[in-house]
Amino acid sequence: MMLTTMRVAFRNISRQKKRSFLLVGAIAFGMLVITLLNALTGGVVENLRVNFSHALGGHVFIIGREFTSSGQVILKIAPDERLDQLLVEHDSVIESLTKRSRTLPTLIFGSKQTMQLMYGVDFLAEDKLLDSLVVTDGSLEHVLEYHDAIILPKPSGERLGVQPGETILVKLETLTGQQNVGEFRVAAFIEDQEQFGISAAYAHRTYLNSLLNLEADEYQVLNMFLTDLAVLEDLARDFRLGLRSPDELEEEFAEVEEEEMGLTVTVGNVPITPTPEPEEIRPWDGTRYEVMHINQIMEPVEQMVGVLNKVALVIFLILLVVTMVGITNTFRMIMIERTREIGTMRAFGMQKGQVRSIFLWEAAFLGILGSLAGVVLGGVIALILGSITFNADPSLQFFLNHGQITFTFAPASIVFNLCLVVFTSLLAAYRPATAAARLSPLEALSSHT
Amino acid sequence: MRRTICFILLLLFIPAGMVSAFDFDFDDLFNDDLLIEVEETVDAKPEEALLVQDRVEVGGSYNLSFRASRTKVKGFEPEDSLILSLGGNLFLDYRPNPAFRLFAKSNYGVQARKDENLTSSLKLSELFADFTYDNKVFFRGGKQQAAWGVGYFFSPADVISVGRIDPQDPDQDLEGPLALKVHYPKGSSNYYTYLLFDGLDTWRDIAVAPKVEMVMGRSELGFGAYLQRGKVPRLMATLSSSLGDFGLFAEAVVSKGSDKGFVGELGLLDYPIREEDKLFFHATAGATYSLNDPDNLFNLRGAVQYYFNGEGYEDQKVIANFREQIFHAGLFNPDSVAHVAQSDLSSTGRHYIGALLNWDRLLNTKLSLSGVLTANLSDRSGVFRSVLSLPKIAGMSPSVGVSFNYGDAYTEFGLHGERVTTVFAAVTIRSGSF
Amino acid sequence: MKKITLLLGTVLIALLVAAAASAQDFAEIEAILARIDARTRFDTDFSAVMTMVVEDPEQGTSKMVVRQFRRDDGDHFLLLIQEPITQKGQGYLLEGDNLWFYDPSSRKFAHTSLKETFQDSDARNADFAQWSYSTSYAVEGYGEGTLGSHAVYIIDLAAVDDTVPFPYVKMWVTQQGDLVLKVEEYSLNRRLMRSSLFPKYAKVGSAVIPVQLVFIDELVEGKRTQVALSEISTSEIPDYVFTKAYIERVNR
Repeated sequence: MMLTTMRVAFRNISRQKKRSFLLVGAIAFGMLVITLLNALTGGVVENLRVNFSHALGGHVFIIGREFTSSGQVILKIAPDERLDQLLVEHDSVIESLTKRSRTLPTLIFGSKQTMQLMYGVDFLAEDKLLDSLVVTDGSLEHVLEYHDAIILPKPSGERLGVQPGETILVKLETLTGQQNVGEFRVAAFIEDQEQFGISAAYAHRTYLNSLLNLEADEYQVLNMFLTDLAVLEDLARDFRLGLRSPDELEEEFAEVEEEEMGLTVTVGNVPITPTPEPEEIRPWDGTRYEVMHINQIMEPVEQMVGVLNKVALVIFLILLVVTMVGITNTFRMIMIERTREIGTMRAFGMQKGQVRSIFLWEAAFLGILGSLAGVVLGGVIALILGSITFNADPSLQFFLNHGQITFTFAPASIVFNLCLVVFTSLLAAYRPATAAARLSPLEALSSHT
Repeated sequence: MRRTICFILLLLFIPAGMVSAFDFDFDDLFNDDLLIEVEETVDAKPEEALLVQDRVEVGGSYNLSFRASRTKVKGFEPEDSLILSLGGNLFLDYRPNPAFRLFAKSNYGVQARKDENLTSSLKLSELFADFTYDNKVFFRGGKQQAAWGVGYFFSPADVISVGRIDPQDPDQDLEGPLALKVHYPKGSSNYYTYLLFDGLDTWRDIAVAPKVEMVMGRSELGFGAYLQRGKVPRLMATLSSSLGDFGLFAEAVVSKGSDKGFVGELGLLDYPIREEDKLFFHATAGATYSLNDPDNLFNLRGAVQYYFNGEGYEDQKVIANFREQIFHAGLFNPDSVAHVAQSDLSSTGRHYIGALLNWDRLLNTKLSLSGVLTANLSDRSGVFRSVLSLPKIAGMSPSVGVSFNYGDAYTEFGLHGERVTTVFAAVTIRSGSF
Repeated sequence: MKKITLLLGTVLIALLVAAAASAQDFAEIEAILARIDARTRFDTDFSAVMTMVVEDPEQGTSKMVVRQFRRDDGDHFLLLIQEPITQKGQGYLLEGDNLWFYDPSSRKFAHTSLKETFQDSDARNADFAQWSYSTSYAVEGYGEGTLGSHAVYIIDLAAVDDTVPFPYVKMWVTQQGDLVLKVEEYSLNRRLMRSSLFPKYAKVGSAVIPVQLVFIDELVEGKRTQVALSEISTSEIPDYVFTKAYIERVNR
């Protein structure tokens, strides 16, 4: 019986091709927009996460701070058993790690100079780095032999007018701000490997450290790539707790108390502090660690994406309301058009409920067809757009995956949206359907329409 | 402090052409006497010496340029223009003693256009005398440039200048009032009173405009007023400060009534022009930013400003209809339009945005790119202009650019609905100061 | 055995004497440094015309002439540009953290505050500006010599801690009058980074001020800066100089 109802409903839809097409089209359009937008924002978040972690060189970043006897705070990590222990414990989830020192020196060649981000790298430990660099001039063959080798991004090399094999001066500040100068031999020029406009020069960590006034086995940042991002936050927490010194805990405690004691005036939930007191830095012994991870960096991005998705949902809901009104009106018209037909059907013994379900099934079919069409169309568009490689500028590349837009479809939200569409279609058709069912066969047959 | 001064010195140091290099021999450097005795008489006053000149100083600037442009109005044949122009200013500065000074400046311009006669202009832009009472109160009387506001594209607080800032060329000089300025500086505060004499019939029409400037922390605040018989009184406030690398500025103005005439809805035969005496507010705020890249890749200078114009029309249709009527001349009653000055038809929007981005030495090339946008947000019309400066050739500075408007018909910048696009190429052949 | 003890004792005494002698001499040099430091701390108003020529092989050579007025409290500063002619008439008035720039063509003052601009660079090494030869450096050694026609002490200094930008400094100071003629500043690995020459001094009232200064960048080939001071005055500057009114009057 239900099958008959469905068949009649389906026949009715295909009978009025143009009208059905318009309704399905409207629904499909709404579905297309929300599906594509959700997929796009999902993809952008993924790409940003991947690209950020490449650009920043890891998923987890650890920096250490020391308080010097002269009252300065310097960035430095010295060999630390606790850290080594933690690295051993988590070895299974750490895909790779880098221990680098970094600086922003002035490179000088003859009368030309330029600023350049520079990493001190342990090339033996980071055995994959040299292979991953794309050399444009010179070669990386002798990098390991020469302690003073430097690998330059091509634009910097061009700006200096230097050739591989020649020696440049590197003017930098030690960790405490003293001036220092080193001579480096240019081994090779490399492509801007990340294509995000953040290119770095590489040199041996031991040599760079000697200029920065660091010991050979010391460094400034420890970056880790993980095998599985699911353990990211747990791992970061383990490191954070494992590296915390007892006096840090005490201080945190004291700070919390202080905050609670202080009176805060708020205007519209924004706390108003009279001029914020410059934070007094209390001296400490040893190294204080800060453990950050890519999700912390991604947090504001994800918040923004969340807002964007909500906006998309609102647009979608508005579209739905519009189509709902359309469906209601159409069904009213259908009812009037088919009054005689309904009368006939009723006269042949069709029950009220059946008449109603024919209409409801029609609405449901429209909704399902529209949604599916929207999803399929979205998929096709995503496929086409996703296969185009955009030669966008570096900052835009951050949102792309090797120059391509990535769409990530979330099945759960698609199913949710589909249900929403079907539900609203049913809701829209319910009143006209009930009205149609209420028609008495006699009146219906005597109608002139 | 030392750093600050070093910074200023650096800031000052903009390369200024070739000059002679070191004119000494390093080997002989230490062979002469080290110490020079400097006779310092007690009454040596360098600050006064700067205020005196034994002869009249004459100086000025010149700019010789050539400009070719093609303007295309949609639906019409493009129109070309070729202009050779010489412009600049000339000034005379006479300082017989530290307490008195006479200054005159005039702008001149000569233009030769294709198929047209030579036109020339000469305009006295300033003529004033400076005098002081005991170096405590300072007077300046005459035609003078005055700068009251802090806004970059829009400055409603500048209630005394005769000219108005052209948002498309905000760095241009403004015509000032004929006025007597009394200036009393006290510490870092400044107290001014202006007596303004422009367009007077009787002495009772002299406008009075007092103003105070004071420093609070790292901000400078200004408060002023404008009072004149027969005109609406205005109060204004200005603020300039900075936050990080951004310079911030804001202005607010309130007036009882408006000097503008307001066009009403179409009446029986004509448009009524109303005068309003309610309170009108103007407010504007903006920021400037500049980034100096040591690598010359991104030398950026930007400014953006929002302007709420309380004297703008709430319903943009009213003014658009009126513009349309004026366009289709003959349909309106000339008597009613007589009340409408050209100024009543500008600044008709409520919300404006001005923005500028200047990219000097584009990615370390010898090119510079700039773009200026003026947008009326209320009627969604605007003007955009972009100029690309090319490398100097034989001392000449060439540039090319494009400007266009957008907006519906009869909006402020939308004109009569046509898109007007101008492309131009210009060469500054010589320019300089003397 | 006795002989050896004796010998050792003699050497030891000689060393001690030498050490004492050198310590004594260092004391004299340290006194010179203290006098040099004392001289650089201005405690009078100051006014001069400063001519600066920067020679940069990449950017070309540029020249600037400015008239400066400085209040003894160090919080008031006025700069008036006289050259290049395209910038003539521009003025900078500094009061504490507030800076006004005056543009003569529009007769407008633009206000900015400086502090934030510096906070970034100052944050890390907050105490950097506060150093002096006598407190931040220790004498490593010295010799006597001549520079041009002048008898000088050549003094080697090493920073006492890691808070000054140049860890090693070599200076040439006249034996008479404690005038610093030349300073060489070295990096941590003792590479010469900058040479400063002060071949001319002026005695103005009680102050002795270098009036010709040459800075040579020893790393960037051909980069040099020469500064000359003239029309120096240390007489008191009236308050009205540090006002907008004065800038408006003095400029065209």
